[in-house]
Amino acid sequence: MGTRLRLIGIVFGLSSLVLLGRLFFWQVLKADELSQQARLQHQSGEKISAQRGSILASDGTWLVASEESWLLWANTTRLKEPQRVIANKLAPLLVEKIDDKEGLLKEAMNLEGLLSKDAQWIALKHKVTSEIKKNIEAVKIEGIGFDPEEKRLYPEASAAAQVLGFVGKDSEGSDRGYFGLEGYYDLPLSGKPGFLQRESDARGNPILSAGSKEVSAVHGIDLFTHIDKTIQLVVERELAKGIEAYGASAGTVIIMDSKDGAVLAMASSPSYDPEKYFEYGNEFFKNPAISDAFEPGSIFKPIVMAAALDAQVIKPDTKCDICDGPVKVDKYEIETWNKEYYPDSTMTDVIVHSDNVGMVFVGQKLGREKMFSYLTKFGIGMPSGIDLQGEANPGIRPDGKWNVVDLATTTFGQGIAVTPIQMIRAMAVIASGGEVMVPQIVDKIGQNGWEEDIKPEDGERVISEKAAQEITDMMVAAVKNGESKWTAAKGFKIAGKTGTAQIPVQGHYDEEKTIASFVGFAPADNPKFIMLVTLREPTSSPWGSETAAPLWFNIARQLFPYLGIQPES
Amino acid sequence: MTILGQKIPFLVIVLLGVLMSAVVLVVIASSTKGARLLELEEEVGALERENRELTSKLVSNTSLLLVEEKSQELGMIKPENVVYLETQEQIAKLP
Repeated sequence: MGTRLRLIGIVFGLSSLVLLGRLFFWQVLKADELSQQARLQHQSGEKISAQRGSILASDGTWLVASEESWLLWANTTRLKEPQRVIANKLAPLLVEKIDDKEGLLKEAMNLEGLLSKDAQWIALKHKVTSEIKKNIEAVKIEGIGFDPEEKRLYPEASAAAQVLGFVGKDSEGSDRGYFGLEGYYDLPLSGKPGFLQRESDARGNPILSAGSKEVSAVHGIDLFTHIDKTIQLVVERELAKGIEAYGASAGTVIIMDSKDGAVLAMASSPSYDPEKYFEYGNEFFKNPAISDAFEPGSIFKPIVMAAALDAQVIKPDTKCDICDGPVKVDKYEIETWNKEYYPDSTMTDVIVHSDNVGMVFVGQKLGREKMFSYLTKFGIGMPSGIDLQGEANPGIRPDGKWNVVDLATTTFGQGIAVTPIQMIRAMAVIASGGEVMVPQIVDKIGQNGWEEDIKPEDGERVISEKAAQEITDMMVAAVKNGESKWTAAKGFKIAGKTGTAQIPVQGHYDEEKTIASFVGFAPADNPKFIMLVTLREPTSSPWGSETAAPLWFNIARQLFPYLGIQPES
Repeated sequence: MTILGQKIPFLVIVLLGVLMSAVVLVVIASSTKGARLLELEEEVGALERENRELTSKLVSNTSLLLVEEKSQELGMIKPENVVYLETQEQIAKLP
């Protein structure tokens, strides 16, 4: 009896020791791991995504907006059907055109390749629309699911693509804006994601007594731009027509309000579709209007003439005493573009005839120091300060390093490089009555009723109002009597100038290729817009007066009724 | 009433009973509110989703390209010849 009791006592004792050991194992050694598992079961934490801000046109309608889209994924451990079967079920629902057999096969092969990856969770397709999601859900494929994500919506398709930029992925797979406004304003557009942490019961209902932590998401701000959709679409359409009609390889049009630097439209061709940016090469993304340098040619003449008028080294009726033939500068002989010479030309005639020799005369009167000083004030050789990512600055020859040839060629826009935005900004000095403005795309920023105006910087005076008026009159005469008079809009007072610049290639100028351009503003006395048109390598004619000028007037004729511009009489 | 030989006053027992009932009621109420909160959050989510879908439709419908397409379908054309009127001249003078 005593032995039995001892035996039972030993068994109980050993059992208790085993239990204590097990208890120690779970409660002490495994405590952290179990606590973590328990927390995972009843504590949930989720990121509250911040909606990316919209980009709006001047009328308050959208140029870019964000819409809900979905990431299609597969959990390979839960897939019940073979990869090929799943790929063949999904592909017809994901392709744009079901009739495109080649595209369908490519999509199916791509999906099958992804599903064959050795991973538990695989992202199959980004930016799937809600409609496609519904169609896929209807097919009921086990192991396939969706996570919400954002997609950019472009109601005007590829219009102003290079101004807008696009949203791609950064190295961590997060959305990020590149180029244009998306790149320049990426941080404020992105906003700041929030976070929600709380405890839930077995049914997933939140336990209110357990407390929760919530940091609200701050949605990205909206950008209210100066871009006028109507003008932008006119420009896009006419630029495409012009490039085709004149056989140009590329072209750019910028329209600005010279009073405050507001950019009303900006387009370049070739361009790209921001929704399918991944189908294009990097060369399409940069905006030629702010990043491509070119020798401006004769459209630069009014800038130099305005500087000379302001410096009072010439007057509009000053006579050119070297204009009776080519002029020799150092070892070079400078001729007029058509080899026609007008002895005793006035300065107005020099602009009307686009006389290179006459401009050399102006340059000689102005001198190197004043030339450099004025060009710098006009913003040549420095970034325009436009609120777009990717602006280039070709620079200007440093002061003190100008020789007589540099001085002479600069007067007619050769041997000096500018970007289109620098060129139109400099010309806007004349249109605005003598003050330089910073070009501006975004007018206001705001969100949910709150708005903040981004005021244009006060313009610094570059030339006097008198000088601005004098050069404007010369440009009006150039439109009425110059080489582009055949295409000018009759009855309207327009100040403008044509330009044809040769393209420098490896230390010399290409004999055949040119950049044709036209810059002008209307109405000349109280401009409502200033426009620059450049066409690269037009093949129908090398001259600006026969290519860029008619394109300029085609656009202008459509702007006159829209902007309420009346004829002179 | 006695527990382990100690006499517990009736009032304490009633108080304990009330407290226990209160705890149960609070837990039930909290659980119900939690479920309601989840329901409201789902409703908010659905409304936000609907709002975004409607905004997307609005964005698409305010597209000028779409308006242009529709105007062409309706047979509208651009005015070819614009006539400007002199607004300063009076057309008819009062006697």
